[in-house]
Amino acid sequence: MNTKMKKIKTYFAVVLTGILALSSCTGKFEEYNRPGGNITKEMFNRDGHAVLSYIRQIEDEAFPEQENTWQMNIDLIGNYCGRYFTYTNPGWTNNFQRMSAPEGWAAYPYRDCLPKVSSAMREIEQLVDEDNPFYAWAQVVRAAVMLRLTDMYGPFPIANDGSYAAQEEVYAYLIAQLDHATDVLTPLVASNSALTMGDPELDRVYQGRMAPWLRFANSLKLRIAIRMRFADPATAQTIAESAVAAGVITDNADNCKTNYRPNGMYKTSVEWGDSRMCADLDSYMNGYGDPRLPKYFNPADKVGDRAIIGCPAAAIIGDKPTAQELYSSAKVTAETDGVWLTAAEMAFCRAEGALAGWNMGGSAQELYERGITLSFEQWGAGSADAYIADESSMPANYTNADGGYGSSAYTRSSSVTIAWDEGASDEDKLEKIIVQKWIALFPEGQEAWNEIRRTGYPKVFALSPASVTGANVPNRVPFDPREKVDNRDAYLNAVSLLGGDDDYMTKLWWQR
Amino acid sequence: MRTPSTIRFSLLGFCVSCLMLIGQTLSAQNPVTGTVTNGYGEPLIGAGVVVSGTTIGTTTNLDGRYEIVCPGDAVLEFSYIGMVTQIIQVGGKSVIDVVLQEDSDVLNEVVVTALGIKRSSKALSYNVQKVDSGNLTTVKSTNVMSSLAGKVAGVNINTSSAGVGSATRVVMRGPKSVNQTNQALYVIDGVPIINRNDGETSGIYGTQPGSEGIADLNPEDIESISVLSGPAAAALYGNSAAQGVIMITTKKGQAGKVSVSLANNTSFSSAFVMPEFQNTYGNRPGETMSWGAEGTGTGFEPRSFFQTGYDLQNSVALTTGTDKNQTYLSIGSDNARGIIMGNTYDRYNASFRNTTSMLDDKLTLDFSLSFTKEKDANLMAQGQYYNPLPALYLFPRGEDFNAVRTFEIWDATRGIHVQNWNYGSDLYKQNPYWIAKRMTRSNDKRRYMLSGSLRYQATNWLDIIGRIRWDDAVTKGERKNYASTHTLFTAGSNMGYYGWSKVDDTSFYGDVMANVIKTWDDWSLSANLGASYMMADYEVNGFQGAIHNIPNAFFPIAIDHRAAHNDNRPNYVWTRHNTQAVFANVEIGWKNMLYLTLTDRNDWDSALAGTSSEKTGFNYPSVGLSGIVSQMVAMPEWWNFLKVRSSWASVGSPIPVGLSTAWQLEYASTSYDWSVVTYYVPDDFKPERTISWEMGVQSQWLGGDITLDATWYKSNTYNQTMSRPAPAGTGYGSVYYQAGNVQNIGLELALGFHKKWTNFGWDSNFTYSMNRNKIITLVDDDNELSYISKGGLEGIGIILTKGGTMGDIYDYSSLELDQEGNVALDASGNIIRKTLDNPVYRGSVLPKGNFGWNNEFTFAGVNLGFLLSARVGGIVISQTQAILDAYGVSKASADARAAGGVPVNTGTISAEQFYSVVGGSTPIWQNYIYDATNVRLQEAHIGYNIPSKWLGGKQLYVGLTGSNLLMIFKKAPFDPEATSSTGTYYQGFDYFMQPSLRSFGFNVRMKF
Repeated sequence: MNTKMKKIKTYFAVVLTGILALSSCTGKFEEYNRPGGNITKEMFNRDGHAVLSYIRQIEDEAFPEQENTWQMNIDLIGNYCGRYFTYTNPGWTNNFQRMSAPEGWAAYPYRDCLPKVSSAMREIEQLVDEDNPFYAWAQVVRAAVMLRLTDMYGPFPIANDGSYAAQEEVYAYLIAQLDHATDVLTPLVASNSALTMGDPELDRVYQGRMAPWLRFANSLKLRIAIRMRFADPATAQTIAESAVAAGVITDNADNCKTNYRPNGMYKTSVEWGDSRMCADLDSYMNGYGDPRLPKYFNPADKVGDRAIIGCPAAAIIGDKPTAQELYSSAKVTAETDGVWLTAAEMAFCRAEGALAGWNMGGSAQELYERGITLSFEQWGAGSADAYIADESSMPANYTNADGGYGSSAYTRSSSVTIAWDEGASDEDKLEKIIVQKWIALFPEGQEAWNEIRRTGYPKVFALSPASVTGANVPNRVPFDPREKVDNRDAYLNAVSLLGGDDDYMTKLWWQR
Repeated sequence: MRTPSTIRFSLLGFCVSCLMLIGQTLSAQNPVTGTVTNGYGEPLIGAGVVVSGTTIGTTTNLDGRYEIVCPGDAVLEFSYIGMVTQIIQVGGKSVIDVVLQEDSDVLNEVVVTALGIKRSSKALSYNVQKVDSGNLTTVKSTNVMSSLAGKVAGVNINTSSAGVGSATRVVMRGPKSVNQTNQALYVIDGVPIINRNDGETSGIYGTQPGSEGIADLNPEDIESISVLSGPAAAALYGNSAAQGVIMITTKKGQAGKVSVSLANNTSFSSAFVMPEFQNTYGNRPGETMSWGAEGTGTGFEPRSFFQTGYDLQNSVALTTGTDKNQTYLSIGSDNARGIIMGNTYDRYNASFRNTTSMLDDKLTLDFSLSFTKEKDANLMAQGQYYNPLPALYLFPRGEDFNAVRTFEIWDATRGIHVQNWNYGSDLYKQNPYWIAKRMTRSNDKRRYMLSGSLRYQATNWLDIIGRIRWDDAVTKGERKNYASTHTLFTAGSNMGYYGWSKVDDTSFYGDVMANVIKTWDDWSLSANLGASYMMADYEVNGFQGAIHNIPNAFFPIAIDHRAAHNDNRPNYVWTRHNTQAVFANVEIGWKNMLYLTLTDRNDWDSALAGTSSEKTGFNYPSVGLSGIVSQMVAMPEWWNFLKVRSSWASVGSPIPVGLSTAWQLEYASTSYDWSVVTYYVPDDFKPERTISWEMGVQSQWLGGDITLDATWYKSNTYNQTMSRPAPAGTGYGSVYYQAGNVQNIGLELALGFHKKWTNFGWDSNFTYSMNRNKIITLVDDDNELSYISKGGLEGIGIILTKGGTMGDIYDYSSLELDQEGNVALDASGNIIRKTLDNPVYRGSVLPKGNFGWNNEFTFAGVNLGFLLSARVGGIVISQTQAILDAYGVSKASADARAAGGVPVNTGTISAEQFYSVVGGSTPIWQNYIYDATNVRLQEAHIGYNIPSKWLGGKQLYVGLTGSNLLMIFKKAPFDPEATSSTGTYYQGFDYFMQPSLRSFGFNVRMKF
């Protein structure tokens, strides 16, 4: 019996040893739990990569070329509402032009873009302090994104607590951010105009060159000032004058372009064939015989009365391949740089400021004509002299392609001509400036839409069929509907800050 | 038939023999050994073996083996509770194997419970339902789990609509976890396996699903499946046990002469439930919708696109063995084709298992090796991508579909065939034949499973067992989209697209366990103490992208890899999961009528690295009590057996692997860089925990003719790791937090009738499952945000709310009404769709109840069986119908046209106008929500056992089978039991889902 007990004790000892051997090693858990391919923050910051990478993450939202980001944040919204493009996809009868876009589309910029920008900014804040030039750089790029987002929705979050701020506050905040950034960057660039920060390859826009980034920051201020000029003229003037004095982009070499590949518009318009030229741009540019037109668009596959032809906005498309061959696609390749802010736009902003009596370093006419010249230069469209002098060309009456979709014809929406007329009324001068600015802004559709909402120019064709609201151009994009459930209090507050219904027609602060 | 008194008698016999065992000294002559088994060949534990007329006796061990020393002319009595005592003359034999005949299943049944621990059924304090191989292999499908549907209570099994090879969704006692898997844990011969289930998909743009690991098994290798639906039963498995366990016991070799069995199952399938179409109205010229004039239809029938699917399964199994060594060998094949061309599933299995006894039967080595080669292609469940059904169903009804059958045409300039399709690319339509044949996805898998166990019987009451299992699966996945496929699917290339990946999926499991079984007087003890170790590695390597230079050059180096971006990029995933555990199980019995079971397990889990639970692990206890009332009190004569049981368990699962890690920055191919995580991670995580109660009764009447097994349960799952979309303004896309309490209360009921007359037998089993799912809390602080959206389709989806269920459907769409409450009309006189500010609750996709009624009749060698199944309650949503309506191809749209339009207010609106708003991509959903209740004849078979005397002792069975034979009742325009996804959510949504299958077939089984 004793030996038996001993044996049994041995057996238990074996089992217990086995148990302990098997289950006492949690030491490698941290290593086991590491998803392969992922890295830590510490690794990320090797060679100072993290800050640059986060800045680029914001850049990719500010100047989005990645095809989904581009399509959802820019193409479907600004490019269509700004009447540069319209869709060829019959499944898209509910869209921003008709003010009936699916909830997921309307929510996309807020839901997708904002967290990427805010999280990157938060990481940057942890890596460098506020007076670090990298921080200033990030502030500039982030301001470009935030400006676009608030111009879509109106009230928008600026604090990281889920709450929304009134648009007026967002603007004040962005101006302050840009002021801080230029305060940091100006002395650095002043002492070294060739200053380059970080690995040039990581900055898709200016390859780390700070002088053009500083000019971009000032240009963004001018863009902001012009936008708010009807809502708060005094502040607008101060900001605009100081920005111009500090130096905005005046040379096409400094244009804000990104070398992201493939080009987003190439994916949507050419490769996917989702978009085609809009009838409005067709009417203006064909009417003016604009030499930039063949630089912007490809001739339609099916030749009609004119080579480059657009499709009426909001047309009900019967068949995509048919629409694709009837109308013109964008003239871009996968290797084309995306263009996001140009010297021409700055010249037109200054022209409008000069028209308002601001000190913009030139007369309205001078700056208007410089804008056209710069745009021609940007697109390699030859001399602009004859175009600038053209007193008679007007937007053309629109006739649709044979077998096309939507209205078969439109009478020109405006008779505005190109040549400056110093004797004309300020309102007529404004229309000239904005029409030319709108043409020159191509393909930055968000800015095109902003101009239509802000000034009513260019005048556009009525939608057929009519939009859900009856209006021709939406004033904003509704908030993410998920906020109604996920973030209700903040949502309700946002609606009250908006000062109207959360729909497409409530005007933004700067439209009033 | 036995009376209660004889039961008591044999019980007494058992007790006596137990008593005799203790302190017995033997002084006899010949040793006799053998095994005592029941009619199913399963060992009987603790059966009494007594030398007649003496007090000499012993009991059988866990394998049913006994050894007794007695005179060569002695008479042995073999007894076991509730079984007919057998009296056998030793007659000088040294080996006597005995099969005891049962008269009531439940008393004698030995069930394999968690970790392969064999226990007497009467001692169990929780519900275990067993399905024998006959029930799984008569009407077969490519995935053996599909054959289990409707046959056990408390389990919802839905087969994915992806065609042959598709995965299943197996959810027991309701969904419990908001974010983690709710799929059951699979266990093969006691050892848990990692079941990779690729059947999840969601949304219009969802990727197409794949198969699952458990489908790799050859159904013929399965001896039986035990379903442990409750956490108490599964508590010894620790993590993942909350979702219940499917325990698979595989076949072993049998001692005796060589026996070979052959089985063939052949079945042919067709679409079961199809949408109702119209073909009288064609399309207007140049349009792709079918709103043309009456009589312009070409008579196109979408059903003509489908082919007859088939499933051909063959297997050969050989078993041979001696008393000391038994061997099982089998090979099997499964070759199946779906109803959509290109959907194939081919599986080849080979298994070897050997069981050897050594050292006077004290040491038992059980070794098995199995190999599976599986290839599946083009599984397709739903959605717009890789789905030929939108183009098929919406084909303009005035056009000739025959023009489409020539799906590619020779392009002499390019030297390749290009797609032939001129009917619109809305909804990413392409030629349906092209999608099926020229946009192919395939998986080619080789899987080895090796397992071994070594058991040492130290004394007659103690044995030690060690087990290992090695599972290694390598899968090569390929995706080929031929040149001229829509460029969305070719990364923009006009030369085609190729993607490949190699998935290495390996897991190792090892455990060691000491098992004690001992009785003293009135008391019995069964205890197990052990430890286990599990390591699972998962690695994916691959590359995908546009092909450049040479069209349709489908190999890795032809991919455009000049610059990686979102379309052209490498794929790499690597995860590792390690779990270590110690566990104990103690069962104390008193007078064979009262049993107390205690289990405890402590898990250390690598997924909890860096959290406060890393070092302490987490503990899962359970307690259970079972009492045989019919042993305690005198029962009426017709009431043979009554057991009541109750158990409590606290089990759980760790947080997802890789969540708590510091390696959080993921590579984003869209930016060619690592990007910061946009989700918020709290400082600490706890494991998710499910507390569950269950109570049950088990009863037999009329000598076991009528059986009842009923279980009531309640489970609450706390501490759930959830992510909710953060308001984007917080700078995070989503936030992880731990909170919540999801409750499931339900009933499982199995009522059986088993009766044999002279020539005629009737076996009938009725199962009923009811589950009420309720989210008691979503977050701890009620003032916080208390909604979580779980997606769905455009404008409709599942939203979780406090007080709701995990399947609540909310709808954002409505018709615009005017002030008087009439339907508002726009300028062109059409109705207007409105997006609601607050979504409206429309119902839950979860069923209220499931019924199954399985019958088997035998008459002189003929057997006939059928399974009726029903689901009651819940809703489903069909966007297929909405889009068919908007395109004017549905029968409803034709009926509306024939009726002159749709009445709205006091007037009528043309069907085209009406459905352009009500149907389509953003429909008014109320019109497309249906009651999911359905009743069907799920399986039926008839067969004949050709008398073996005609065949010289060989056995031959031939039979006819059918599944999904008849839909007796349904309201939805599709089969509501088919699911497009095996995940927790996206249930009940139909977006061009592949129809479920109806099949007819035959089977032949031979044994010699």
